[in-house]
Amino acid sequence: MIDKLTTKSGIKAILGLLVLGSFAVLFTFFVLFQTFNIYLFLVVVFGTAIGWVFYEDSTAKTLLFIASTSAGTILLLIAVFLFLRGFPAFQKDPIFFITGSEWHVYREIYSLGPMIWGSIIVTFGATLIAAPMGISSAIFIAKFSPEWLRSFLKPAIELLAGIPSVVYGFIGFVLLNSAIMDYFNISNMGQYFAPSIILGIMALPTIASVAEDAIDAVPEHMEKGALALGVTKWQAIKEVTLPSASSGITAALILGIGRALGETMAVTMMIGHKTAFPSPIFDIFEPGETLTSLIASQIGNASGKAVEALMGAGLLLFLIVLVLSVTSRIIQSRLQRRFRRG
Amino acid sequence: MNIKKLAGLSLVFMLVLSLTSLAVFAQGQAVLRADGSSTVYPIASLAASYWNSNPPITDSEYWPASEYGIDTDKSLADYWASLYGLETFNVAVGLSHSGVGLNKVAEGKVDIGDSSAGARFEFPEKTEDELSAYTAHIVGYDRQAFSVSKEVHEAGCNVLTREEIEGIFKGEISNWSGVHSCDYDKEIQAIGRAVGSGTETMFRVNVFGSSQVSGLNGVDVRYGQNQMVQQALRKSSNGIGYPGIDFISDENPAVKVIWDDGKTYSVEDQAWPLGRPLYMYTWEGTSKTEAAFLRMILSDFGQSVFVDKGTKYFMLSEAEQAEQLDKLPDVE
Repeated sequence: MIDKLTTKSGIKAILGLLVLGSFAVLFTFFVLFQTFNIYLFLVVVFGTAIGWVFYEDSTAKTLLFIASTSAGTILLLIAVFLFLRGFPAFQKDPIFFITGSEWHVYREIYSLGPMIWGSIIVTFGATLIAAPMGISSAIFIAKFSPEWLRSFLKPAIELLAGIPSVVYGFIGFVLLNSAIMDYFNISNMGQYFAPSIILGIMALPTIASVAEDAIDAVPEHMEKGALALGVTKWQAIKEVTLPSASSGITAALILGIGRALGETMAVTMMIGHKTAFPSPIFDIFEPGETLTSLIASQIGNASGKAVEALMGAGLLLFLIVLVLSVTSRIIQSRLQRRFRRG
Repeated sequence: MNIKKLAGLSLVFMLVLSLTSLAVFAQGQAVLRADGSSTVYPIASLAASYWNSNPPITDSEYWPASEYGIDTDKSLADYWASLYGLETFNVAVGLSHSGVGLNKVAEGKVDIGDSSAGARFEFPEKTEDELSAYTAHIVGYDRQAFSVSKEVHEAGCNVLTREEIEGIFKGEISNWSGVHSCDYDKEIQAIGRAVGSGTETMFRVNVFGSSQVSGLNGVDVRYGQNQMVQQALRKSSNGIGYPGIDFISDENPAVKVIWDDGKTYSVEDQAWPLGRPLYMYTWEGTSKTEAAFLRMILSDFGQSVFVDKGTKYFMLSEAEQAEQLDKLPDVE
């Protein structure tokens, strides 16, 4: 009896080691042995199947563990990859790489200044459109809208987020670009202005739905209490509900900014891909380039040093988004703490 | 089910799967793979579709051997493969960019790298020594044309000198009234192609003499695709661009150029000064498999069917054709 038990746990340990080992190799080094992968994959599949039949408990536990940790692991692997491939671009002259004004592929001069500036302009423009509209519609839907209108507006806004970005890009390229050109009598397409509008519309559902959730989550008794003191509904919302929901609204804004900053397809289709600073520097009717559209439009043709520089741009973008989301976390937790004390 | 049965079953299954994967892998080896420029793609993919469908000699519409003085009773691909003593094989053509094709052929990921610009122009940083492994095969010619918005053409701006083209893309001429052939008071919108693309590289070489030219500040917009350049020209009333010759129409007509010799050329002329060869590169010489496929494209049959009739591109002259055929290994 005891012998049988030890053999059984011995088999279990070997099986587990085999499956997890193959999975780890498959997961991290799948590029290295391309023909070998199929066998590793089979070991994982059959090992898991055998494990499921004989040791369901521990297999289920392990599977759940792998599923939940793989997102974090993938993020880590992406970060490592980007850092390894992108860091060399910063090494030579990091200041010039970030603030220089020239990107000339044929002469191998790479600096991201104009693209960083382009991303700032476009994201700022998009936020200018999306933030007031998104927060207003969130307040309306959460607090003022009658039920029938709410049941129509909420899915409509969510559907707006579901439209593929290539469709936005197509509409922007075919309609908006030439319309703006005609309307403002500008001599060229692909300025910063048109993508800002489209990105504003694209970031709108993110801001609206997250902000709406935040406003909705404020306990009703707080607003009721204010109303009982004789303030109007708008005063109650302005003085009680919105401040209470402010951390959620801030998170919504930052998520929206992240969306606008990271959006690629629509911008790539619409923007002019001119890798130079506009002059004057605030001229939003000049053609330009953003970090994302630079990578998207040039990686296909790139070789050698250009790939390195584009990876550097990717790394920079990754870091900016990382800083944004960490900041939003910090703001959120601070506001939450204050809210709890107050 | 006990563990022994299960283990046995899985062993059998693994064996079957590995055998299938081996078979697929082996077949994968028999395929001739090409990838690269979207400009060269029409020629390569048309040739590949003829090759893969392998029409018999009785199908004189698709394999008119006798019309081109070829005496054989074999089907199309069988014949061209047999010239090198090979069995027929499949050809797969991918579509990306010149630079990608050139990189892939060097890395051994494909057998043929399609490129619409010479390797030395695509990789100005590489030395002649590094480039020497690229074996060039010119399969046809494209002509780089300049196209303008319809309104520009109608206003009479339909002949440009080389200096004017230079001036427009360098930003020195910013209004159509600065062009000698017309009096059209409208800002110029200069439309370029994505940097690094074969079209952009050859534009710089043809007009400015080098891909490393700087100060092309006149370019307002760059697009990654010919279709987008065409669309932009149609949607505006002030544009000039250099889309591929397939992307010129009545809505965005071509203009004539006055070149350095003082003569006026239209894009239909044989002597159009902005020609560019279309390449299919092999790596470190040319294997028999590659040569069989390339010989078909370079033959009278291939030039006529895949280049002249099949696309808007232009055939090699007889002397060039002979020179290109000479570069291939001798037939058996």
